[in-house]
Amino acid sequence: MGFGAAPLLIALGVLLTAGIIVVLYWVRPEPQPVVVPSNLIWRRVLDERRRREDFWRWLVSLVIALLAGLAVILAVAQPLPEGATRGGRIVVVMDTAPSMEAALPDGGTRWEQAAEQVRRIFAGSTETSEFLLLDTAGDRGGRSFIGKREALEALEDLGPVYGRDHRFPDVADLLGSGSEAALTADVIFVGDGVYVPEAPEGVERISVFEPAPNAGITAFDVRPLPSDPGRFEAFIEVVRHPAEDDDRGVVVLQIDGAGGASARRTVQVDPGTPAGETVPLTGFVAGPVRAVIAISGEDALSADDVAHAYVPARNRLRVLLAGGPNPFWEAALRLDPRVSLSVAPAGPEALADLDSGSVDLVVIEGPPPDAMPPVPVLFAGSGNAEWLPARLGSEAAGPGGEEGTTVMLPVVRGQTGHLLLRDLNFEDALARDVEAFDTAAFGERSSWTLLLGDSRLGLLAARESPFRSLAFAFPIARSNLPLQADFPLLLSRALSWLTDVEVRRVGLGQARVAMAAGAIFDSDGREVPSRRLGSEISFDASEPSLYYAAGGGREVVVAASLLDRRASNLNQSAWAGESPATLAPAATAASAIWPILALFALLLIVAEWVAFHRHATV
Amino acid sequence: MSNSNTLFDNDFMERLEYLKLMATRMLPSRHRGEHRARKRGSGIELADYRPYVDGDDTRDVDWKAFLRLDKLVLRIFDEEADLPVYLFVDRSASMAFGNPPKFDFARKMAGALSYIGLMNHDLISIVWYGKKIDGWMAPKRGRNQIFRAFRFLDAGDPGGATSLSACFRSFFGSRRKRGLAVVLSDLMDEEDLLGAFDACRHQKHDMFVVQVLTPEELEPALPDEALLTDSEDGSERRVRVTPRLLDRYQKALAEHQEKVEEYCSRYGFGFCVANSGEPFEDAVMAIFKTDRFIR
Repeated sequence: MGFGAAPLLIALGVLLTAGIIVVLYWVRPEPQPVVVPSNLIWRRVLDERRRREDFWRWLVSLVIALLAGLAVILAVAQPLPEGATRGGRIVVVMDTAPSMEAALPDGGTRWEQAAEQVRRIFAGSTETSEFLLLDTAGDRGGRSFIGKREALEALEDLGPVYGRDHRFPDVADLLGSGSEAALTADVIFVGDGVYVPEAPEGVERISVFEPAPNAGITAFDVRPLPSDPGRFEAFIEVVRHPAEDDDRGVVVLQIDGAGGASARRTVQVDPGTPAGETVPLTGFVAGPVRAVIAISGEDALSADDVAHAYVPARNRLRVLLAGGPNPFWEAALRLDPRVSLSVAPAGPEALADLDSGSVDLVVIEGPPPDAMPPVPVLFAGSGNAEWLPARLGSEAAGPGGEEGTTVMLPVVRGQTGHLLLRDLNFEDALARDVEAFDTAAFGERSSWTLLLGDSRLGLLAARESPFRSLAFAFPIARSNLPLQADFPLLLSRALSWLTDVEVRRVGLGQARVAMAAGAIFDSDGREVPSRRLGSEISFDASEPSLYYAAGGGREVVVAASLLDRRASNLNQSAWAGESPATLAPAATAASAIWPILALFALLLIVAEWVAFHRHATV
Repeated sequence: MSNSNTLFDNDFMERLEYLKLMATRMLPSRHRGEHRARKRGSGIELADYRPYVDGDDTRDVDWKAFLRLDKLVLRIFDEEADLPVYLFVDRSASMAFGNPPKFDFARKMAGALSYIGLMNHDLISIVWYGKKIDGWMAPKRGRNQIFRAFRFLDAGDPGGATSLSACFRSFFGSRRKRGLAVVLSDLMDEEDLLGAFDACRHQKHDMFVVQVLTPEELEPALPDEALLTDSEDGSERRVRVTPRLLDRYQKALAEHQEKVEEYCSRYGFGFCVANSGEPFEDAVMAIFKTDRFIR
């Protein structure tokens, strides 16, 4: 039998208990002196009574005092039954994989079950035991053993972690290979065997795995229709993992958007087989979109039942055409019903008081201004400016081109997978007066990306920050590009790309946003703790939701969803055939019995006190 | 003797007159100075007849009966004798307790008995005793001795231990005229009380024992935790007073009294218990009612 309390505490408890008992005997009232004529009769009475009762009264008093003292000592010492105690150094590795969030049939989660197991291990250990608490996400490391109390506090700070690579930590390396701690420490792994199926030899494994039925969203995306960038559709992939083999199951899919728009689908999903569904977002306006699934019966993991996205399109674009009148641009822009066009004459005055509150996009054809406008820019023309990519100059360019400045667009390579150029055909496109960008200027340190051009000539460049911008290396009016069949689509895509809200999709866990400075806000407008990592901002996207990163006049919508097939498959455990560990009742009793013992001791002391005053004891 | 500041004041004297009257009513056949002795002999009151045997005094032959019956019948008379009364008053420290003190109560009883005895021309002796005989008043007769008796009783003080056995052995070790020994005591005597009575009984004395106890001794009222100190020997006993313990006390006290009463009853002695909290004349009357004090 071990004791849960420290030896010093036990000794103090024993001394204190003995002191209290002695004091209680001392503080009993002194007899009141009474002078009587004679003790003759009293002596006869007392002698007779003493013979018969005093022994038993003394014995009862002694037994009660001993029981009270023993109960107090046991309450302080917290004895632990044989087998329920652990001693020495104990390394506890907690499985913090997302699957540990799975709900159990009894109402708790695998994580709560694992944490309770560890608490009982702590409670069942001797006071001199030392602990090293590690996790599979690597958030807790080091080789320092800590006491029971600190270990319990550390346990409270742990929990399932998303978006990380989970693996069993190299305990021997942490403790130092061949060190005494590595040789003598008991290593216990508490988990469900889903993300971390194996533990090294010699590790005591405590399984909290129980089959858990689950359905989850493993993919969710809002994308523009290729034929109409102003319209969107949602693609959603759903998977279902029942606890036991069953027939096809029905998953109800609900998509809600801004302004009360919603769509509902009922999807038949085979167990373990992802099922994809495309839902046109007809009637959905720009803003958040949330997908929620529901199944009949239990669903063990709630984090994968919700996914978020964002419809980025703007319904109305305020476009300023600088350098007008320009009938060509005016006609082309007015073809897009979203565009509200205003025209300003060429010159720096037109761009003087420009801001994002009054204009969504500025279109410039002609000489570039010296300073970059503070809004997205669609530039086409010649001339140099610091904010534009450097040019090669006016010289012969490209194969098949005419001497000087004429280029056939199809012969140059480009990023045909880019949203702007995807599936577009400019086979007959020709550009004159080309002042090509210097492809050497497009490097890692440049904010511009070459979309169209070859190894020497850059014809079309795009930039993400601080505002999205497009720059053509030639005047559109000096090319036959507008005469191409796909030009209206290119322009529509360009307008959308330049003005759409920037959306970034991330998984749950630590998320990063490319933003030099700014803050993160949740969907309720509360700022989320974040930190800068170089040119990025990192924050904890712990729940499926939309977050907003804002800074430097730029806003990025971050849609955080789990979308993890592995996490949704809660039953893919290497320990599936094993029985889950049962909680150690002995340790529970040991930790819970001391208040009962203390109460029992108190009752005994009170009983002795009352018995003394009723002259039942001495 | 001044009657104002002493135990035997005018009030006491008035009570004695009442007792005297009551004694006269209760004992109508008694005549002043004429107390029948147990011994049959030369008195003038005819007690019985018996056949004449050789050696009998012929003066006692009833000649008239002889003439009628033709038999010699001898008249038997009670011997008329002065009845010595020895009043043994316990003056040990235990007698100082009570309100009034048992000692005062015993003295008043002794005074009352002395008064009645002297009024009846009895021979009255008063003995103070504690561990030994502390003083005594030689036998006195006649009503003019009453104040002497009172002065003797008034001069006593309680104190010391008790030994009736030693007292009786000392007192009855000398030849005493047979009489009535009246013991006024609380009988809280560690020594052989019945042995002391035997010393008196073996000398053919009659005896009347009055146990004087206070109300507190009859029904103790003590705190829950008490350290009892014996007033005579200073011994201490710690008690936790419970109803059960008090029952046992009264049972032990009753056993103590029953033992004395049984002894007295066996040998024809008188015994009564007097409560010092009650008027002493009630106790005196109780003694008279026993019909054993005056024969």
